[in-house]
Amino acid sequence: MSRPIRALLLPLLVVLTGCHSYLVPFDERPLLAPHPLAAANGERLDVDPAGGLQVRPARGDLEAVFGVGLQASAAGLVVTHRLRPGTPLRPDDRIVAAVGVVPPATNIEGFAEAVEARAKGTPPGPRPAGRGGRPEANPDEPPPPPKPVELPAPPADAKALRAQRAAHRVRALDDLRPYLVAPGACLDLVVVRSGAEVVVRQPLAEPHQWLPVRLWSPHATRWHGIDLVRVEDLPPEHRPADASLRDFLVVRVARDAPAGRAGLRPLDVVSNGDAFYLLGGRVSDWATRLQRTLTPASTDSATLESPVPLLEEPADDAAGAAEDDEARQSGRVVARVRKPDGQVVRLEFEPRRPATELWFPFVFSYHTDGVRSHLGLGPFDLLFHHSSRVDYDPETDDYVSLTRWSVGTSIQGGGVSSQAGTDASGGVSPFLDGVRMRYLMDWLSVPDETSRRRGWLGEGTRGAP
Amino acid sequence: MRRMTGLGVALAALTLAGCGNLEVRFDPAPLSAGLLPAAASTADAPLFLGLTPAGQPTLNGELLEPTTAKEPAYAGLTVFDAGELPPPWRPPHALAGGILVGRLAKASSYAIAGLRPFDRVDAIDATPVASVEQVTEALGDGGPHAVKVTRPTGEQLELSAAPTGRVEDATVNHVPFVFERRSAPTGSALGVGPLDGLFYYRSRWTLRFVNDPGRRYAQYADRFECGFLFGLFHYVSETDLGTGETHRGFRLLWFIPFGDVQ
Repeated sequence: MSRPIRALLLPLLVVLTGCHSYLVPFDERPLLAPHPLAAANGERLDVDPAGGLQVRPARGDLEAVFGVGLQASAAGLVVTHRLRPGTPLRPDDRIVAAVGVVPPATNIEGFAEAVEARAKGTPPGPRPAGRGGRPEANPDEPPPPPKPVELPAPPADAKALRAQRAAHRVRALDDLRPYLVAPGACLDLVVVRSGAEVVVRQPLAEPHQWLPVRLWSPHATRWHGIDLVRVEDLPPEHRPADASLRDFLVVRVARDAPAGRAGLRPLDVVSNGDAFYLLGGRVSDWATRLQRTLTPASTDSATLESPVPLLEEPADDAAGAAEDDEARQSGRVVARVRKPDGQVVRLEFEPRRPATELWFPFVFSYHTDGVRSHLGLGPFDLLFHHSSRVDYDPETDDYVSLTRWSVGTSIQGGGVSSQAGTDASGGVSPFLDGVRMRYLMDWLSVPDETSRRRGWLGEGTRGAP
Repeated sequence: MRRMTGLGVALAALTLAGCGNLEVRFDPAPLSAGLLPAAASTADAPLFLGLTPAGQPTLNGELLEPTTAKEPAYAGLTVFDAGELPPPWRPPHALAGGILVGRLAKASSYAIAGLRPFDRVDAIDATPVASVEQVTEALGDGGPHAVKVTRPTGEQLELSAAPTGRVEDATVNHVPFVFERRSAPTGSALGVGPLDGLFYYRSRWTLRFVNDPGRRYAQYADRFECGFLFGLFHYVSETDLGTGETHRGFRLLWFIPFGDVQ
């Protein structure tokens, strides 16, 4: 190798070694709420994909979906009044028969191919699949808009509707309530109106209203990837059922939030005491802990490190209290949350800490932010390499953890872990360090992922608040 | 040049050593559910129940939202409550309701035992099931269970499974030119020597398409194969789990086959 090339390569090697970062901006995209939450008035709270809180009708509330009041009678369902203007049904209408309306069978993706394959006795075509259940489509891209679906035209008259095999008589709300499982579908109804039978098409889409909320101390909670709302700040009719005024409602959990990885989801309800710990609050000694219970309004900043004043003690059960205290002593966060189905779940996780990036050219590099980590020894990690990342899979609502390591480029190992199992590998490959090659491919995608995350949020969120 | 050629061959052998196809896992895509006619389906107005990749039911492609529950680790399945569907949209074998299987992983022990999407789960360990949570809690402990199901054809059967791990558990250990070992709940394999040529065996479940609606177009088989000296001798044995038939075959000197399976 000529001297000029050597002179160029050596400083390049020094500059490149450790002079990179595997870390990407904190993923602020919100997790989806797996289930809606019952409100005090029977309606349901839900969150949209952007994290906005909305109110939906109670499950099975046919009247809210139709927008009219209904009364069952032997002759059919009678419309008593309108709940909102512009509904297809009018007061004094009497619903006597119905049939569900869905797109034609040709709407099924791959329907024609499946029919042809079955006729030939050949297997259906290959389906896209990713390792660990992840879809092949880029999960960071917004989902494509739903393709327009043409529903069949309504039947010409009541006789044509009744002739359909799926049509049936209607006498009670329970005759129509099951159709609410298909919010994208419609119902064709035979309605007696002014003495004559007419066919009316009724959409089944649930109406929803946005609920503006005041976030609790967002300047501090946002660092943890969580948005909270105090229950008492919600309208009384829309407060979570069985929640006290001092409780908090989780309205947003970022994908990279440590609490999200531990199991926190939007619409979880957290007591005041558990919210204190969830946001990193620590009570330094027993005396101060006692003081907190005696003087609930006290907010001594010397001992409290959470914006949430500790107004009540967490509801620790006798068996778990010691374990919780021990975990908290070691710096972990322990909190209990109530899920929408009423189940109380214990969360334990490491709190979010500022990213750490240490490197010394030609010697080592170390980067970690709790979501991704990289440790390398030697130039280009020739002596030792370890990297890990945790990614959220929206299809399974699960986190997939990937770890890989190599020693001296020859001994390699790694694993991919999720709820469904762990795929571990290890071995020796002296001439092909697949671990570092895959890490290199990961690292090359960092700029794209960074711009994607920053584009969603508007600007980066790395670093301390 | 001769030295470089020899070195290149040796490097290629080392690089490729252990890269034989001893895969024992299934791909992560779930079992194909196909399309199931609903109770009110006619030739003029067909209504087909299907499943999304996540296991949610659809009707002519339109998403339905009954209560669902999933157990992704040991049973590898998602179930939904057919009783929440309108009666005209229910499948014929669940007109009175019931808990139906949605998404089912190919590596699920219950799928290998015979469970298929859209089967109605009637009882687990002789205890009737009434909710989706009951199914996932019962099967989620990873222990052996007996499940009584009703097929869409009306056939009732009882199948038993004892999961040996989570559906996506797998381990691979390899040392080039020496050995390669793979294990998963769906099988195990060992290869010795470069390209697993000195000796290898692979014991695994296989899944193939069969044009038989009664068997739900999918059939598992228990396949064992071994060989040594780069295929000088190669033996295969395959047992069809549906019919119980076993086929065996071996190949000698690479080109001389015996038996009815290769």
